[in-house]
Amino acid sequence: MNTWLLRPFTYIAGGKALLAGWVIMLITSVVAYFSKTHFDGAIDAHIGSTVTPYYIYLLETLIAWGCMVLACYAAAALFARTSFRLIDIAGTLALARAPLLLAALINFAMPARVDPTAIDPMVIVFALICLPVFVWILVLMYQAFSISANLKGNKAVIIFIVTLLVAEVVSKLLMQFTLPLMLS
Amino acid sequence: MKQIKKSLPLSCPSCASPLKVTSLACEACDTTVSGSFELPLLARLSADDLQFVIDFVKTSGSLKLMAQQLGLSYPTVRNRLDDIIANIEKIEKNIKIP
Repeated sequence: MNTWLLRPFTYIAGGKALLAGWVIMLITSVVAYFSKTHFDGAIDAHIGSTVTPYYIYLLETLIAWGCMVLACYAAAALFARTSFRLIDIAGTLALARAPLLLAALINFAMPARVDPTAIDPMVIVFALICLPVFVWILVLMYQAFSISANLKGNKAVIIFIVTLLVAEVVSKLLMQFTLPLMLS
Repeated sequence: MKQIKKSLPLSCPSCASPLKVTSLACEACDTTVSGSFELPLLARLSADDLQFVIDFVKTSGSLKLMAQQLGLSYPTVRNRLDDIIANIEKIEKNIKIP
């Protein structure tokens, strides 16, 4: 059971994981649209009250996942000593985002916000409730990277942290420049 | 009584150096051959690794088929093979092949 929760990629990867991950990402974007949850970064979730078209929620998810895949692929190309496949990185990272569906569902329980930019008690409550979900996602993303690139130990952890930070910055910049263009 | 499955010891329990074969016996005629014989490279792998190599050969080297048979993902099986390759390279460095 623990292996399935924390190391599911021992059993599933590649095309199957990619298909399952995409379906869950699609469902997550729909739930996020209705619960007004923005996944605007490689590992970000924000609650908002502004009216945004559905495709923005889908694009946010795709950009976040795409940036993580590209960053992990580049890291694997630089540091992996053995061969690896893009489809394994893409598939496992897509499935690793599955717990975000929980975060989107949790946001239904949150009352409507007046000021989406303010850090009020509601935001802190949302962050605390979602914390285990994000720890879970981080563990899954690390496992996805580790298994796909066959990197282990401290070296793999350091490479993953740097990769995640790069993906976070790139995804934030991409969203900042592309999403307003799409909305205008 | 449950029969214990013996596994071939690969390294010296005292100093961890690789072991050699010094005696071989024929159970049919009770002949014993003595000398100093190197263990074949594959025989130096652990029982699990050796089984993996045998399965790999039996599936004609298809990792996809092996992954299906073992119920594991492709990269997991691929990583296992890569680890065995690294292990073989390490053994090759440790033993002096003439």
